[in-house]
Amino acid sequence: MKALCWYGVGDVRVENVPEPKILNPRDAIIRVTLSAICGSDLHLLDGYIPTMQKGDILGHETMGEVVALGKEVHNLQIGDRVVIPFTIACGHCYFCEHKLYSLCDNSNPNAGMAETMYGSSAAGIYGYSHLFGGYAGGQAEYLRVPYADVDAFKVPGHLSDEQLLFLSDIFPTGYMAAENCNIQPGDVVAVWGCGPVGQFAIASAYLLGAERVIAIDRVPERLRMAERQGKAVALNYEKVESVVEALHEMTGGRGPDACIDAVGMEAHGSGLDGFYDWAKQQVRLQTDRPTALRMAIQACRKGGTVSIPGVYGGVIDKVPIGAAFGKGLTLRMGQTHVQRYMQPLLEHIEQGRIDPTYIITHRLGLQDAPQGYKMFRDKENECVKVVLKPA
Amino acid sequence: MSADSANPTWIKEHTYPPNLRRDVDLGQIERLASTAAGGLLLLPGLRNPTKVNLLLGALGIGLIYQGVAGRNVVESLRTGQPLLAEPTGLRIKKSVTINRPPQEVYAFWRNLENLPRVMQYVRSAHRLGGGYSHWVVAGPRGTVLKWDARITVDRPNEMIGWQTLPGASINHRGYVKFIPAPGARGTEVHVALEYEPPGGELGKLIGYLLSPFVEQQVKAQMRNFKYVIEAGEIPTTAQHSWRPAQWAWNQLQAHESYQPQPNRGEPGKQEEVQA
Repeated sequence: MKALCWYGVGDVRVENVPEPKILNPRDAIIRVTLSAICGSDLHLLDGYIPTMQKGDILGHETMGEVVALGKEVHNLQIGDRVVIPFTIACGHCYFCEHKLYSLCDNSNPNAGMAETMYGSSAAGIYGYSHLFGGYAGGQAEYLRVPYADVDAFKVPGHLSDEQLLFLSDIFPTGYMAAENCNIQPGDVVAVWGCGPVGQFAIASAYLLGAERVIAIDRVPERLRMAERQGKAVALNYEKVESVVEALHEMTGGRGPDACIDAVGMEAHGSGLDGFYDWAKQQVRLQTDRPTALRMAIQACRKGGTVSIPGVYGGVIDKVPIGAAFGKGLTLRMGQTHVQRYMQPLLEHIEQGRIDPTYIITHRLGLQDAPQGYKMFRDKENECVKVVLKPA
Repeated sequence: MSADSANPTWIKEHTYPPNLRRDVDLGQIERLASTAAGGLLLLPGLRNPTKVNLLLGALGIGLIYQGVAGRNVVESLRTGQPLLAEPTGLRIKKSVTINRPPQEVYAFWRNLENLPRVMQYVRSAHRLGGGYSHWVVAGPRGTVLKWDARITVDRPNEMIGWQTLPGASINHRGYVKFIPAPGARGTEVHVALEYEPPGGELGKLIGYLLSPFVEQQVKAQMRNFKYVIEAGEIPTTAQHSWRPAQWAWNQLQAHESYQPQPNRGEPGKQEEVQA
């Protein structure tokens, strides 16, 4: 089969690889009908996530049709149409039983490695380095799905692949980011980063009752999307002297009630701070550039919440913990417990409260995935979201 | 039940494994520096064993020991403390929490024939009756280790203790305790092992140096134990990608020797303890 493989920094290729097989009793194999490139895949492309190996198949936003089942999967049938949550969860450990699926105890075969780095291991993730399990990803023609009785979500026939695909990651991720904000009536929510997760965080904040959402980015077409489809107030951070001051002025001096960092470890800084962070990251004095996070903490109103769906992987520096402490902020973060959100968000789609297809800007064949990666990374051709269809 | 149920006093409850010991004299940086410097001093002696180089090498070994053990060698010699502070053998303690009641976790372990399914290196375990059992374990570099063991303590749903009989490839004893975790979090499984590396004092030193790796192995096997009881299978990424990388094939091999059982969560019936 064809699959998109990682070869090194800036180097991904479509190769012919063997098809996956059933290895464990709770496995399923799906024929991929649609997958997508995630913003977090760009961290892999740029080499900021350690423990990648040449030949690793990428992709964790996947849906398809069941073609083979292990003997312990009883709730699926061959031919079922399924969306695959990107967090692999066993369904039976303490964390899964408490719906904290992305913290599953049992799905990372390289748990020892993760324990060394993070103290404990969280769930395995498709195509996201060996630290997160070394699972093959879904930017391929076929995908092996472990614990398929828990990790393959059956979807109805009357909705299109494009409407359903984002249940695998970014819609739940944006939604959990907004849910973590504990939105109250009248709340103003500021969202840093108007990529796909930011767009869904904006939409979700409104679904959860936010009064107003302020969208922060510098890419015109993304701000435009946030404004037109997301109904947010756009703020171009390159056009203002200080984002923090601008946000305070837009909220009567209070600051946003909640701030969402949908940017993560590869934030674009500007000026001296930006150069400082870039330089430290290059020599690995810090692994992540927390520009957006710093601003979010600085801007947030007293007693507010900073919610972090943007991916961080290592160590950051000069985080204004004094501001967070002094203002009594709540910080919430983590990988998305996707399985928890699939059913309720499917209902939002079915009821027509949101049509997730608006973020798709590019539809490519799987064989063109490498160009898709570069276009998405460089934000060429007004690229916001690339979906990939195997031939 | 013939096994005695006396509390095994031969493993002290709060003995830390070597790398967690609190009685070290040196800080982390000093230990690393000492180990690294020792390595550098050792190298010339290995390449070109002249008298001077061998002398330096001996100094190097001392420094490596000092770094690994975290003890000041000069101070130890002066005060007459034993260089190896573990006179009775090497000890390892590890724990994991399993989201199942103690009865179930105990029953899985007590059915010793289950253990080869979860412990990568255990090729076979057979109960011989009377609390005795026979074990075949894969050792390093294709060697096979064998021993007979006796169950010394058997408190259903609480604890199993064992000890090898004379003639074992590696003499060891250990216990596993099953303690209900607070707030319905399942069962805390605490394993303690005490073993004597073969090969006298030198073997002991090598064993001491290797003990962090043994510890990692013990932890990995306990993780497998949890995987099988909770999720019914051991996660694998064998065949994760197309290239024939050695480690991927190794994983596939390991996988093929593992036979998944159909009844998740209740592997091995809750059979009567035939001790």
